Amino acid sequence: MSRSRSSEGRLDVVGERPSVPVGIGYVGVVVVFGALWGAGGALAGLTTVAASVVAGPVVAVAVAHGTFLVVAHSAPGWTIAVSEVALGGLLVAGLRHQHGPGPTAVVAAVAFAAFAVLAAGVYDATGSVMTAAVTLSVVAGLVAYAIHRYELVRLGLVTDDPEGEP
Amino acid sequence: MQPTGDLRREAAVAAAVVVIAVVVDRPVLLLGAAGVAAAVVARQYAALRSFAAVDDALTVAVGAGGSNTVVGRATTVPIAVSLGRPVDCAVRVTVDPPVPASPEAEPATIDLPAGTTTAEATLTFAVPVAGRFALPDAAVEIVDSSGRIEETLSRATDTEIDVAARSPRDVHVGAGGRRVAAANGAHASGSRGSGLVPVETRPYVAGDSLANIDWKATARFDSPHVREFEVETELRTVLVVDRRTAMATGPPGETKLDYARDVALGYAARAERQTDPLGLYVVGEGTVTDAVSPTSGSEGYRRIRDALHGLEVRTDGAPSVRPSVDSPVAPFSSSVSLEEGSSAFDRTLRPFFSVNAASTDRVDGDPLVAAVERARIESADDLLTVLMTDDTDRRRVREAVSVARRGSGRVIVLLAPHVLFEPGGLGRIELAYDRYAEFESFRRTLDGLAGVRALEVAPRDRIEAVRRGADE
Repeated sequence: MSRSRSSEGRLDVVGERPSVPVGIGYVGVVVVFGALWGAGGALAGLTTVAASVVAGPVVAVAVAHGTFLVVAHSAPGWTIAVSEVALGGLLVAGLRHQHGPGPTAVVAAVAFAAFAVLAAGVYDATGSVMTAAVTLSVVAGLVAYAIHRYELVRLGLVTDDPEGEP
Repeated sequence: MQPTGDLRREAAVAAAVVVIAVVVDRPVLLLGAAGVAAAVVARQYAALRSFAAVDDALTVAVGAGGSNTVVGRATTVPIAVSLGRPVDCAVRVTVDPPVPASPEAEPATIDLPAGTTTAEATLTFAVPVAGRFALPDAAVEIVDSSGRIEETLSRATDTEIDVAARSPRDVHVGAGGRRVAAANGAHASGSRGSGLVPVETRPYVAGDSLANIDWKATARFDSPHVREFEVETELRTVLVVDRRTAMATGPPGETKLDYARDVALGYAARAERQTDPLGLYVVGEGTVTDAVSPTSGSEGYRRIRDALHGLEVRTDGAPSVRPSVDSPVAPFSSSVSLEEGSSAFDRTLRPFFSVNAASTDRVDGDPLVAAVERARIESADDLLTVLMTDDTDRRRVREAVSVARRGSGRVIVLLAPHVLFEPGGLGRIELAYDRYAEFESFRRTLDGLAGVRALEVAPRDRIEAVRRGADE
């Protein structure tokens, strides 16, 4: 991993992704998608890999779910679950952390499971995609904000005085 | 925890997926949105741990090298940044110069690439005003390993910079690089009479005053004894200070003239303390610009102090300090006004002022010699002349000294060695030493003259630098 300065003088981290795990993640997505849904699935996997190369694994996950609309139109639920495992592997492969990818991967897996169960549960209960989407958005936003606030407190960037500077 | 553009894009993608899921009514897309949201949360978690590790382990140490400086001088402050353990994020520490620093001063930026634990840099700045200024807190920018989340912390530098006004540093007055006392303290007159300081008790001889009989000694020795006292005298001193262009050599606030002024103020303080008469003659380009005849009045001391404090090198021949009664400009101005007046008062005083005005006209010869001559004329014979100049025109200095020591005159010559003041004078230490040796030879020549004490006036560190160079 190295660091460079952008043209505006901003501090950037240019990460060299761990090549072997990422490669395995790419291959896994193509193979799993192809195995589940045939040639169309393999093509969806290649599209996902391309999106990951261009815009990163997070965007690739979104793109992959877009491809599901076409290739997994009427696929059984278990195939979706297996494909999610492959996409999760792609995400974890790209994660870097000084403490090792383990804790972060666990957090990612737990968060994904929680959000997925929440969205599925609300959808099952209400039958409304809109309600499930709003619930998912609100809960995810609250979790992200809570982590942000905790970080401010942990680093001593907030004071008791609401008008005071950190 | 500030998101960068990349993280905002990812969040926008998640939102778009959610919207598409609602529009096409396909709940499977919500899994994609959940995946993106989970990735963002995981990145926040990773960034939180990294930032906390930096916060716990980062120290910013500011060296004390530049904590004392002077106005306008480039000051360098070393800054060391260290992390107790390697982290996987990039850290940049920025320390700004103190608030009053010159605008062109750049902040010190220290980058700690991921995995490294120490880095150093220097902060260079100049402060145009005197005072004590705190170094601002260091700004610590951190970017997480994915480059998507950043945070800014601060670290106290706990450093204050003392900026002193420019003035001579550690004035060295000495001979051959060794420090000596330049001023006279209490001075013995050598003659006896009425006074306060007893000298001896001796047997009475015919002609001694009965008032001087020491009755206790007479009783002790069983024969008449008298006690003698030393007569108290005054040490008449005139300061002849050269303020011509050559005396401007040196950094601002540390020129030859600044050093000469410092020493002259010391003489003035000593004279005032001992109520010795003190005079001042300031030598300008082609003229004696200021003159105060020896005086022991408090007003006279104050005038001399003011004149010395206001001394500066000017080449236009104008007075360097405000005109005083004894200034050559004052009688000239008065005579001009008298020339224009037609009253009986003007007619009566005009001849007197015309004589004085003539005496303060520009001198024909060297103004240094002229100033010494004038001091000799206006003062008594037993005069101590303190001549403060440099060694750029040695022939004239010799001439001035010979004029000053006429009769029973004593002279202290305080010379500022040019080589120790000129910019880059110590660039080549061997050459500087040779030139200093020439100066020293000249000084010794003067010092060898009867009634003359020749001393050097210079920054102590520069004198020592030359001596060290000679030793090496």
